[in-house]
Amino acid sequence: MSPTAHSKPRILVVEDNLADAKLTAKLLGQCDGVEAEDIQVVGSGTEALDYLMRTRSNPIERPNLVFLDLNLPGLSGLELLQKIREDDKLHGLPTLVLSSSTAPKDVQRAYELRANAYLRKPVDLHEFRGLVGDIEHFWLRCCRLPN
Amino acid sequence: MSITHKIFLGFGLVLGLMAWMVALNLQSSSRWSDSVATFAEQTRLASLTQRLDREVLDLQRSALVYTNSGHQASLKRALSIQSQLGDTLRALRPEAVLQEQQSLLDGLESLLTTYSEAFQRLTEDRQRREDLFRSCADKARAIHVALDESGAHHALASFVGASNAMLHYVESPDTSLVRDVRRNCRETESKLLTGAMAPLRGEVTSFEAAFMRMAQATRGYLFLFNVVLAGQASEFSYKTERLRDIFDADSAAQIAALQADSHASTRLSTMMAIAILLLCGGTMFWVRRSIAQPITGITGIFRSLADGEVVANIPGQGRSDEIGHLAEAAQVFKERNQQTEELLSLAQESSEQLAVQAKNLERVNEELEQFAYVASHDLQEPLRMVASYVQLLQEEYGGQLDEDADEYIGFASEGARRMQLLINDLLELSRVGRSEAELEEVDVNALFDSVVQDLGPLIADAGLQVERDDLPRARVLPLQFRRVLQNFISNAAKYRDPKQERSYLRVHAEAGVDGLLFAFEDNGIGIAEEHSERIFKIFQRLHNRSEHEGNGMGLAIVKKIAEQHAGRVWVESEPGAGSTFKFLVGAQA
Repeated sequence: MSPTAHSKPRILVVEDNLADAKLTAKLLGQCDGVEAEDIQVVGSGTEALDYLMRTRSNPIERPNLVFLDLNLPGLSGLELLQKIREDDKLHGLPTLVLSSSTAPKDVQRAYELRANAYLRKPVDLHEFRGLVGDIEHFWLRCCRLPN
Repeated sequence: MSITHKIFLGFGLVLGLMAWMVALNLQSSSRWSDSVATFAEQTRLASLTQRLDREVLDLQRSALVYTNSGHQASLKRALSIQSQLGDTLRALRPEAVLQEQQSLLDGLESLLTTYSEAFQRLTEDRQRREDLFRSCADKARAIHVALDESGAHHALASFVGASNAMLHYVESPDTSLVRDVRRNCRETESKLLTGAMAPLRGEVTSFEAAFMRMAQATRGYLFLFNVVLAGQASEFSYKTERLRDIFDADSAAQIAALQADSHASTRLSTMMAIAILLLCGGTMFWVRRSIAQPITGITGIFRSLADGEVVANIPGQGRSDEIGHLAEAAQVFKERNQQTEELLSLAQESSEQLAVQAKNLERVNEELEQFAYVASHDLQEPLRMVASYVQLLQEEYGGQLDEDADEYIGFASEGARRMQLLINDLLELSRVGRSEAELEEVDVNALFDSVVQDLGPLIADAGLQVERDDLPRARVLPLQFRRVLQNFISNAAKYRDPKQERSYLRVHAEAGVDGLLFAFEDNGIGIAEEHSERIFKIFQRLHNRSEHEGNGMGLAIVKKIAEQHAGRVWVESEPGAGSTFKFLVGAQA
C-alpha cells in the first residue's frame, strides 16, 4: 500500500500550449490527494511571475511545486527559474522543468540554474500518464513539499 | 673576343714571360757551371805552380846535402825531383794560353835543362873529387909510412900538418887550408933535402899536385852549386812566381767577370720578376673587372630571380662573350618569373574565390543543421498534441464509436508514433553535426560491453551472439561512438538471417597508417553491391516496413559520426553471405 500524500500540494503549471496544459491539469487532478483547486495553470512566464509575486508572502497560498515548461513566449522558462531562485521568499520552491529537448547541454543548463528536476515532455498519452504517475509517487508521496 | 680567348691570351703572356725568365736563369746557370769549371781549373794551376815552388826548394836542399855529403840517396832524390819538375812543367804547358805564360814556361823549362846539366857536372866533379881524395889519401898514407920508416920525423911532422889540412879541407873547403897544405908540403920537402929522400920528395910533390887537383875539383863543384845552381834555382823561383801571378791575375779577372755577370743576371731577373708581378697584378684586376665582377653581378641577379623577383635590368646583356650568354639565360628566367607572378596572382584570385565559396558552404551547412534541429524540436509539440489527444479520444470515447472509428484512431496513433521516432532520429542526426563534444581516450571494450548490456533484450530476442576481440583504446567522441556501436549491434540483430543456425556479430579492430579501423562482421542477410552506398543515405531503406523495423536514419547518423572523426564508414557484403561494416577513426581526428 503506497503511502498517502503527506503534504498539501499547491501546484503551479506554467505552460503556454493549452492542449498540454489541460492534459497536465487533468492527469494531475486524477492523482490521489490532489484536488482541482490545488492546481493553478498560467499561460506565460509573465503571468506566472505575477502570480508568484502576488502570493509569495502568503505561505498558505503560494505554490509549493511548479511545473515549468521551458519553451515559453516572452519571459522564458529559464529566466523565470532564475527569478524564482533569486527571490528570497521563493528561492526554495521545488521547480520541475519540462522540455522537448534531451540535449545534454540543455539539461546541464537547467540544473545549473538549480531546477529540481529536468523532465522530458512525454510524446503521447501513455507516456504522459506514466510520467505523472512517477511524479505523483515521488514528489507527492516520497517527498515532503515545503509548507 | 670571348672570355676564354682573353684568359688564354693573358695566361699566355704570363707564361711567355716566365719561360723567358726560366731561359735566362738556365743560361745564367750554365755560365755559372762554366765558371765553376774555370775556377777548378784555376785552382789546379795554382796548386801546380805552388808545387813547382816547393819542388825547387826541395831540389836545392837535396843538392846541398849531396854537395856536402856526397850521399847517393840525396843524389837520387835530387835527380827524381828534377824529373818531377819536368813533369809538372809539362802538365802546365797546356794551360799556358797567353804568350807571357808560354814564354815563362819556356824559360822555366830551359832553366831546368840548364840546371840538370850543371847538376850533372856537379855530380861528375863531386865524383872526381871523391876519387881524387882517395888517391890523395892513399898517397898521404904511403908518405906517412915512408917518412916514418925513414925516420924523417921533422918531415913527417910537417906532412902530418899537410894531411890534416887536407882532411880539414875535405870536410869544409877553405882557401886558407889550401895554403896550409901547400906550405906544409913545401916544409916537408925542405926537410927532405938529402939524395936518399929524393923519391919521397917526389911523392910529396905528387901528393900536393893531387891535392891541388882535388881542391880544384872541389872548387869546381862548389862553384856550380853555390853560383850556377843557386842562380838557376832562384831564377826558377822567380819565374814560377811570375807564372803564378799571371794565373792569379787571370783568375781574378774571371772572378770579376763572373761577379759582373751575376749582378747583371740578378738585375735582369729582378726586373723580370717585377714585370711578371705587374703583369699578374694587372691580369688579376682585369679578370676581376672583366669576368668576376660581371659574374658576381649576374649571380646576384640569379639569386633575386630564384627568389621569384622580376628584376628590372640584367647587366652584361649586350656582350657577345660567355657573360653575354649568362645574361641571356638570366633573361629567360626573368621572363619565367614574370609568367609565374601572373599565374600566382591568378591562383590567388581563384583561391580567394574558393575561400569565399567554402565560407558560404559552411554557413549554409550550419544553417541547415540549425534548421534541422529547430524543426525537429518544434515539431515535437504539435506531434505530442496529436498523439496524446487521439489516445485520449480513444480512451474516453472509444467505446462510444464503431469499429471503423477505432481503426481510424489506431492509424492516427500509429502515424504519430512513427513521426515521433523519425523526429528523434532527425534530431539526433542534426545534433551529431552541432555537437561540441571533445575527443576523449575511451576504453572501447568497456563501452562496447555497456552497449551490449543496454541492448540486452533486443540481442536476446534475435538470438544474436556478440563476440569481440580485445579492442584498443581510442580517441573518440564518447556519446557519438556509443551511438555507432548501438547502431551496428542493433542492425546485426535486426537484419539477421533466419536461415542461419547461429547468428553472430564479430567485432575486431586494426591500427593502420590511416587510423583505427573497426570491423563489424555478421552472418546476416547481406547487402547487394549496388546498394552498398545507398544505405548510408538519409531515409534510404532496402526493405519494407513489414519485414524489418527502422526508418533509414541509423546509418546516415553513423556516416555523419564517421566524418566527425575524420574517418569514413563502408560495407563489404554479399546477399546471403553476411556483411562486414568497417568504421575508420581517422588518425588526425
